[in-house]
Amino acid sequence: MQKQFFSVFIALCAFVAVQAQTADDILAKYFENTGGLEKWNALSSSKMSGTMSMQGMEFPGTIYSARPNKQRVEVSVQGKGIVQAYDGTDAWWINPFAGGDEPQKMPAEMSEEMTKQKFESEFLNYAEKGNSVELVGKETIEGTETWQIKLTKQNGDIEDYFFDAEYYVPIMVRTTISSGQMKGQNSEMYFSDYQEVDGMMFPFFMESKMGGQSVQKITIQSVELNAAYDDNFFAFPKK
Amino acid sequence: MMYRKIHFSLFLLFFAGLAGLQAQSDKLSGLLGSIRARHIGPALMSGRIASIDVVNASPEIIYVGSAGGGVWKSISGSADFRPVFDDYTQSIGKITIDQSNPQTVWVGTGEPWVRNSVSVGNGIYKTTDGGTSWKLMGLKDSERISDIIIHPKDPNTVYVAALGHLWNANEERGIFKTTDGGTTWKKVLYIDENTGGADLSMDPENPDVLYAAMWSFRRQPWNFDSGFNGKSGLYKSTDGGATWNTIHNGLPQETLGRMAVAVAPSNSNVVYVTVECKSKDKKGLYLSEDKGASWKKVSNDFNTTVRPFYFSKMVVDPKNDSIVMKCGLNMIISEDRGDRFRAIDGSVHSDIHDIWINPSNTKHVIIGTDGGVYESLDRGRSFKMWMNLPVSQFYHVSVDDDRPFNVYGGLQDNGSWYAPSRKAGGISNSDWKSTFGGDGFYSFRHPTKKEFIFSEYQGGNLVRYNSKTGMAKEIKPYPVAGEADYRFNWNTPIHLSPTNTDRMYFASQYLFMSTDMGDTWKRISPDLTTNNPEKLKQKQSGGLTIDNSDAENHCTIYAIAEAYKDGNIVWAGTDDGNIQVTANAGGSWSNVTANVGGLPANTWVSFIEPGRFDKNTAFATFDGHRTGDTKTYVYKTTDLGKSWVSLTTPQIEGFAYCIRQDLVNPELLFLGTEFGLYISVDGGANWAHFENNLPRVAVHDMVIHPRDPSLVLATHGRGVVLLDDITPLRQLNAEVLKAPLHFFELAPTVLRDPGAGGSWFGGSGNYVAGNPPSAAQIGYYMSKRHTFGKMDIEIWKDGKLLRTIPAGKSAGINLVEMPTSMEKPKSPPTNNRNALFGSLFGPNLEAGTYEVRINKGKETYTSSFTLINDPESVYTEAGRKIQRETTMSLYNLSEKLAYIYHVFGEIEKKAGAVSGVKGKLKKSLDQLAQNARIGKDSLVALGGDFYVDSDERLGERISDLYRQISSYPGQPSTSQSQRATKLEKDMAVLQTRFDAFLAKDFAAVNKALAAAKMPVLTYPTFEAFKSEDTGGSSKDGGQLLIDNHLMYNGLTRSPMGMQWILGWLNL
Repeated sequence: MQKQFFSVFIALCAFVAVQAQTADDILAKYFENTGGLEKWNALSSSKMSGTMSMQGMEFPGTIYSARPNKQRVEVSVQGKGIVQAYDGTDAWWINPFAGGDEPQKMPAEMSEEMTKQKFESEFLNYAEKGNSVELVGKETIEGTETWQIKLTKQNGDIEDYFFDAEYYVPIMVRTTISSGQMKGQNSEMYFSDYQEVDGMMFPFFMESKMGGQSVQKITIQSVELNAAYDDNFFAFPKK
Repeated sequence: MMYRKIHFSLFLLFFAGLAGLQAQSDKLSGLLGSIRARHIGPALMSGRIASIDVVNASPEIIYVGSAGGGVWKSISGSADFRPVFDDYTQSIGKITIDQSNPQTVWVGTGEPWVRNSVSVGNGIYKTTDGGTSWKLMGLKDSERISDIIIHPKDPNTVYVAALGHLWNANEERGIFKTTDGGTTWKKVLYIDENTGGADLSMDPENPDVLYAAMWSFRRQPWNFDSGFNGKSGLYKSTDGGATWNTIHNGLPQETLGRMAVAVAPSNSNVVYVTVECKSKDKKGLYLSEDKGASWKKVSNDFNTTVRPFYFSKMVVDPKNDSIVMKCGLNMIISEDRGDRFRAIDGSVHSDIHDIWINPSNTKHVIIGTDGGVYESLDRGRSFKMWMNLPVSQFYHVSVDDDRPFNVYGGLQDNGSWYAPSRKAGGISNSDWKSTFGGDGFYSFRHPTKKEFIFSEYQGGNLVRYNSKTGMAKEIKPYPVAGEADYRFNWNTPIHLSPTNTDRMYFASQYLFMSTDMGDTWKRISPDLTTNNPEKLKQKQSGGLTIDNSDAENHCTIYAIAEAYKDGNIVWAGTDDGNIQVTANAGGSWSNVTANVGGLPANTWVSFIEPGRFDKNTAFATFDGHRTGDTKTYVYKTTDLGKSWVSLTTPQIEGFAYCIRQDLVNPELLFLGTEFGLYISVDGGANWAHFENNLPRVAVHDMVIHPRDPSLVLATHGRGVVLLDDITPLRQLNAEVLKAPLHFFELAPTVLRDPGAGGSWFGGSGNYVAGNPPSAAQIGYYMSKRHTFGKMDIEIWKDGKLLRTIPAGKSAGINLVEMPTSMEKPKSPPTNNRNALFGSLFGPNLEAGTYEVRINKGKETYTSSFTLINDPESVYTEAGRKIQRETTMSLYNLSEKLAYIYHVFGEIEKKAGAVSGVKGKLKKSLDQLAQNARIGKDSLVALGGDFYVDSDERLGERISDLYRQISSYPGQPSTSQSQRATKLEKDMAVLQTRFDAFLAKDFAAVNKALAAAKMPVLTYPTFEAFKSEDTGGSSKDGGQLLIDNHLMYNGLTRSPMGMQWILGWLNL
């Protein structure tokens, strides 16, 4: 009896795996479950405020980002503001703890990851962007069944996403660090606490780990979408 | 679409149903969650290295292959190493970098230096991304790979020398070739199932010309045979491996053994070969100056002939065909084609296995030994060791009852050592203390006479080391008149009685007992082995070269275990497959071997663990790999060996070395195999492979600490590894596995003084192991991962919310570190470093019980954790109380000052911002703003650089004193206390001034504003100010962070927020 039951299960498994799941299916469900393509395509900017903790310290901060690749991070350390920003041309920062209150251009090694980031999801119209996706298979992440999708970006960078097999949202992404002392090491970012903002679902908690060890935790308190920001807000301040 | 949906939910339903049926086993590996192994090395003696390769064009990129600890990569010329091969077998044979594209690296697994304790490989792997990911490319049954050569012009063409099985015959051995990058392989040279490829060399001018040393060999537990069936030979191909011929013209015309062959990279006419043969006058180094057409003997230096199975490796200088370097017991170098040799720096560990010479600077030499890697910049005259490769090979491990406990163990060719399991600043190489040399195995501290540590060296040489005097006394038993010679295993068991602290055991083929720390021995058994004369030929072992090292001593007792519940019951297991037990302290013995069903005859007894809860119970592991049987054998008896049941399941991989039953939960078992640690929570019915930070390394022994909830592993390649707290595993059962969220009951956490000092600026290149978390933890099990909705953890004390922290979200076991401190005090800004440090840390939490609330969506789950003061701490209760009061007083001062600073600032801002006023009112507003600014600026010293340009005012004085007093758990000094009193007075004066400012200046202006029918100025209340988040707070106590310079580095060097952006924008 049990044996029969098992073979039915296997058959179903195989059926589901072959028939029902392609990378495109999974991505379609992901966008559908997190607000729909229309909303994703219309998304123009975001502002997230929350708390970041690393090395035993906690800091409040805010991240602004806007199309196509503008970013600005503000972190408050004991009333002192650390700013990091990128306007598509210059990556710069203000770090009162090293170099004073004047904005400075970021060293290339530090800004590399930042300058590669696009605002729009790499999965959205991925083919037009020159990206490719591949369904690698099933993988258990944090005790949860996931589909692993390998994203190869136009620039050759590879990121592995692990989508919850039940709800089709990513619960982990694995990237390989491309520069610096950690070059070649994998870094994993875990997502949870998905919550709704203006009809879209976003993770309100993220934890990055290296070699299974927690590096940084981010707890989001609030999210604001589609606000307008002046270009100067992201640009290296003129004197 | 509909169709698919239906099938999908059916699938889920079926899956849920099956999860129960199939037990938890397969999923369990994942559900072990955040229980994470902690490695403590050490790296000071490092371990056996099998292969080294370096990127010629970027010699700072280095790969090191260890005998049992995987592949390590450095991109900084050895300043830092990290393991890059943890998901695969850890025994490495050969590493070869594709020098034309150094992101491609080949790793052949299975060490070719085939000593008795050698591990096994399972094929050849390749990375094309510099070691980030690896792919198995085949040759899975080759067991060990000795050489890999990539075609210099076509990187898809690769030649591999596969040595093959050590302990039995197999066909996947010889010379292999791929022309498609490893997708398919052709065996281009095959002698027979007993003969493998031992070394390979390519003509530097013509890549179709290859030289191959083929070796016939076999190891058995009681014998090693180099030369074996006489098929060894030196072969040459001139057509890319299509055809091969022997090239023996001038070599000894007799049975040959292991050879090393090397063509000079700068002159393809010059070829060197080391020859093993029986005739003493014929073995040694041979030279050909005509591409192998003829040979002449040039040297029989000891190191050209010593132990060929262990040292047949030779390298010719890339620029000079006369310089040849040969591995050996010591490494030797000739600069005249082998005529004269010199030895290298004598401070290098003996037993050299690989050599890399920098082709751009041939004085730059890197070598791998039984004791790690060394680097020379003067062609071997002096070497420096790399002290950051923790690939030590422990045979056994034990613990003592110190706080923190120490671990003890012996290592392959690296003696016996002990070290603390935690240490302020981390456990460094210098924390390890040696108790004896040679090859180390078992090592124990005497449980009551604590200055004595028992250690041993190979072949049953037992010593008693006195850690006070530093002297060791050899105490092994000798046969008395009429007795047969004693046969001691290479790895002779020492066993301390668990029921009587003065009783210890030691064994040859007989079991001995001593009650006076080994000064006198009483034999308590007959010969417990098969005593098979065919297996007693150690002195003849070695084949062509006698290798009488005690490694093949056989028919010996290998495992001893006295029952935990009855000191009269003693188990003994032998290397020739007997398991024997006495129930009357050796008065009589029963051989219960025949009762072990399904076990092939003469299978080595690798471990016996008596039941922790029942005197008739025992667990045993058996290991047949030394006769070619690599199956897992795990058994349990509950009737003193009369019957046995197998606990082996298909979930286990690798031959079994050791098993332990938990001290608390009888169903919890730990099993060590060639490929790692397995855990069962149902008495052995199902096993889960433990993968959290534990590579697939051989686990030779383990011990559960009798007091602390720690499991300590002796790995044979990655040093000592700990699971610091196995409490959650002890509490796992079927009911827990079903709960949406189940809290584990963890022991109270001792508030530890982190200890100042520890690390200093030693630069990179020294291994330092981490400590277990000093924070309290809470542990809970969730049957399902939390992905949607909020989930966080609140910590409450006496009805007051102290902190809110992120929760662990994983399905399975979550361990979350609790804060060790309250919120930091509010403080004014500063540009003074010491004051800043002070203002970033809250006071440490006091001893007591804290309530924990997990908010998970709409549900709330409550639990608690308890902090207790260290009972052995040096601080008095009275001293702690004063420290606490003073800290809190300064904490409050800081908050008051911050508030006053803030209010001054607000008034300055608001008074300056009032518009539409003129004349007197305007003037008084300006005056008010100015006074507020002066008041504010008098509180702190801004404008500095956080370093040598910093001043101090009241704000800095308070924060700095707060930093000093809050970070020391005991009574503040008199000076500190007086200073605190002084600052309180200063604060009182300031408060008066501030109150007066509000009552007079501020009130007057507001009165005038009101009269002018304008809105009055306001400022926040203290409560409102306090609830505002100004940021920057530490969860941990301050002292460690400051001492490690971590925080300062974190603040100044990290691209903060980077991960935040990365994570967010991709979604």
